[in-house]
Amino acid sequence: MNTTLRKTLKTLHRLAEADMVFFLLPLLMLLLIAGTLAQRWMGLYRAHETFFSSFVFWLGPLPLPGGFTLLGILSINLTLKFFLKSEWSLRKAGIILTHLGALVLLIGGLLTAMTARESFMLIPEGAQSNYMYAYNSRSLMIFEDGRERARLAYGDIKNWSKAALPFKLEVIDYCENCDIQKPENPPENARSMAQFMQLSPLAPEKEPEANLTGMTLKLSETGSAKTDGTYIAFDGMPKPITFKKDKHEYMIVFGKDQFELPFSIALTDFKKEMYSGTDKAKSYSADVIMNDGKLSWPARIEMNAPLRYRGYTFFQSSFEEAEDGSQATILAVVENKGRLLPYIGTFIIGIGLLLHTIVMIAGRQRA
Amino acid sequence: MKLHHVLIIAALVLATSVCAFAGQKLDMADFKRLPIQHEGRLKPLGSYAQVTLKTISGDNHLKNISAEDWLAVSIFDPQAAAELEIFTVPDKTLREQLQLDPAKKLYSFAALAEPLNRTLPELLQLSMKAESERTPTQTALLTLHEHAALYTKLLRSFSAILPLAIDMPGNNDQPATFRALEKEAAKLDQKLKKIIKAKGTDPAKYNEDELKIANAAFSLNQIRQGGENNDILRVIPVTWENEKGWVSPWAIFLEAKGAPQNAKLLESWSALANAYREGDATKWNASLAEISNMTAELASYNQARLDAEIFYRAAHPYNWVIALYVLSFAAACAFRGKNTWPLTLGFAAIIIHIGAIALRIYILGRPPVGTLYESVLFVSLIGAGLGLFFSHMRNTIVPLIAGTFAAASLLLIAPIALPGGDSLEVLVAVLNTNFWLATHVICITAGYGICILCACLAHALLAMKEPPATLQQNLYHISLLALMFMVIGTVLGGIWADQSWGRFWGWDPKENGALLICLWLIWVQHGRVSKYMSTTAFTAMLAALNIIVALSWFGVNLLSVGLHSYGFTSGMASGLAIFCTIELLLISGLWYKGRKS
Repeated sequence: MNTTLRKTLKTLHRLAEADMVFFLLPLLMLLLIAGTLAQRWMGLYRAHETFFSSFVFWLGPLPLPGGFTLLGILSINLTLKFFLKSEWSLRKAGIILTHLGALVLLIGGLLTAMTARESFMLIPEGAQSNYMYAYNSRSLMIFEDGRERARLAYGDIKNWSKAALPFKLEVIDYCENCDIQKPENPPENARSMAQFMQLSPLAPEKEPEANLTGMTLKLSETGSAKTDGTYIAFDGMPKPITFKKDKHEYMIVFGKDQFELPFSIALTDFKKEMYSGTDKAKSYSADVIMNDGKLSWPARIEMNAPLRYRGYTFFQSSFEEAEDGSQATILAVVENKGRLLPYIGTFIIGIGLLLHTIVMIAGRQRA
Repeated sequence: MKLHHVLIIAALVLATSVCAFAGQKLDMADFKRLPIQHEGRLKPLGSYAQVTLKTISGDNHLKNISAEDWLAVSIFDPQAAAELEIFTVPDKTLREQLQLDPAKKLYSFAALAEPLNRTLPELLQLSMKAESERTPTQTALLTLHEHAALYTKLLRSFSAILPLAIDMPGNNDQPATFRALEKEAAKLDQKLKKIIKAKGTDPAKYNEDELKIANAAFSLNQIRQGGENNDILRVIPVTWENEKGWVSPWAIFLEAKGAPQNAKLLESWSALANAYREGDATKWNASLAEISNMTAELASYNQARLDAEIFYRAAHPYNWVIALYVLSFAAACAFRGKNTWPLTLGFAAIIIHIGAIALRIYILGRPPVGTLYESVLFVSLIGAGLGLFFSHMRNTIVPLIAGTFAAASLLLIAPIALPGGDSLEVLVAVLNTNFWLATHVICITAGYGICILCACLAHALLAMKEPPATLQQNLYHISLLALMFMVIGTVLGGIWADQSWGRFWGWDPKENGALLICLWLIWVQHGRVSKYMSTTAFTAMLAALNIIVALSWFGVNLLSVGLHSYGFTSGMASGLAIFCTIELLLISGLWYKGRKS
């Protein structure tokens, strides 16, 4: 027992050494360079998934530790160093604080990776919305009498037929990025849009956001032979799949995931200011009215000045302009429980570096 | 390239229909100082002239004409200006395709009009082709057409108020202006319609009077068309209730913008044009004074700022700064701290350098670093300033040698970061925030500067046979300082990103670049602490910091992905590759030599 404890302690001490950083950082720098260069070809999102939000990545035939692995070991090293190797003296206080700050930054990164959700809202001028849309995740949504009955995530499409539904659903085919074509001879049992359209796979876009994802479905036991048959569903489908069974109205749509906000936002005015005589933007801003229950109040969201409310942060991200001059704002919405940690970490690092500088200068003057 | 530009050029073969005259030398000093709204900010006409002439001619200085003289002749005497040789056609294949005189370097508008007209069918196809699919010659052709369209607009910017060379039906002795003839134009159009109805569209069937009418009606229409959307010379301030801004003479004239005062101001411009054409210096100066006073009354702007810009452009401060850095470097190498010449010269350079940057802050009314070019100016100042500081404090000349070398080389390559156009630019929306420009950007660029000084000093130490311990200590301190600025700058960048894009860190190339420098510095420090790196290895790795900084600073712009890619410059890739290779060879060589001894 004693030897195990001693061995464990020895291992922990080894993991707390400064040379851990010396060996880890070249790998991290390699990852950073590979992940940055890859963005040129893979796009930011895919490169992010492959290199930074992964445990292993492959450099040709060579498996190398991914972002999660490296940052994880680095966090362990920093934590252990903090408890086991810190020299608790004023001379080292600045260095200890700086390392602590770095640890807080890493924990903040971990928390963000685990809890952050990014979505967007589109609000036309004069309109109000309490819905946000995911950038990348998509679902098949099944409504029963106007209420959401089930939500099947696209990532789980292989298990859709196992879902407990009041009718039978089978996925015949699907494509992450589809081309819509006119079918030469549509299947006999084609229903709704499947009579005029068929999907064929295309190479995925660089950014998954831009894909047109779709699938061909076979529905049965829908209450009538007229509505049993082959359907297609895809991003931004103009017509939902509808049928009636046992006095219930069913509606099926596919698209980017929607989430409901516990409050709503109305856009009163969107402003886009250009530098006079150029097409260079000077600033964008959205004047909104926030409606939460009985309360409502005006607020402004602009570039570099987001609006924060009830754990959500709203950023002026983009806009749409119709030919008749009417405008709509696109707000990015972020929920992130780790949002404050980078600020705290930065503060600790700042104090640490300042303290260390002061101590060093004071020490030299004494010498 | 817009289609209507193309059509304008097609019509230009007709020349500009404005009278020619014999030019005379007038005093341009006050003309240069008049304000004009251009590329999002108010600048002096002199600046506008320089920037536009540089765009067209590819050069700031033409041998026989100054930029302001060129602008005056272009707007007041288009006929003569069309003969000025100012267009550059750098692509050899294009010169051959257009059958241009191979002996010449620059071509006149008149000489280009016909060949460009010939390429119009090709141009329409080209403008539909994706940028990446065009050959260099095709791109050059498009560029030349764009320049010609720009110049066409400029030549026509005052055509509403200049005397015309149109032979009007009836017997007018005095050449009239378009403004005076505008009322006639409707009548002429009516007459022309009647003629066409009677005799068809073939001019050969017209008699002399009818030809005159047809010609005049056609010319007036041409002039009006050239004036529509002619918004480049925004010299008239409009202070209408809802409209605030600057408009061109044609806008005042065609869109009836502005108040009676604006129309009066236009009268003065008209008088100025006449004075120019008559070569009358007294009238010229009087009109200039009038325009200047009236403009100042109509709009509130700071003339001192415009004058500062004229001074900044005329003084060429960076030539002086580079020369002084080179002298300081040379003196430091020659005297090795035997006298104070190197420090004094370095100090003088830094004072002028600071002055030049301060002047830019004053002119643009924003913090000093917002573009790639400005970052080079600032980084070089930090490198040289800190080198001088360490040399002075620690009584050793080597940091000054490293700093002046770095600063002079950076300033010499600075124009690469400036692909044509104006060096004094307004910033896009996301960068248009004084707080973050003054904190994050300054911190990061200062970090680059310290890193480069650190790397240059490391080179010097590697080259020495036995580097003194104090210098090694200096290097260590500078590397810590670099790390401090880079870490704080990077983290501040994260906070800015959180404020404007909603995420602290997004693995964007520019963010990764800054992080790479931080990681490299942290790695070197831990190598030293854990004793895995010898002093020589530590020094060599710090010397390699130059490569890391170059990749992060310029390299990521070449990737042109992500939210940060606002400083893309073509043709930089090969330069960067050569630099990195040379540095790698140099550092390995010095390191090998150091280990042997």
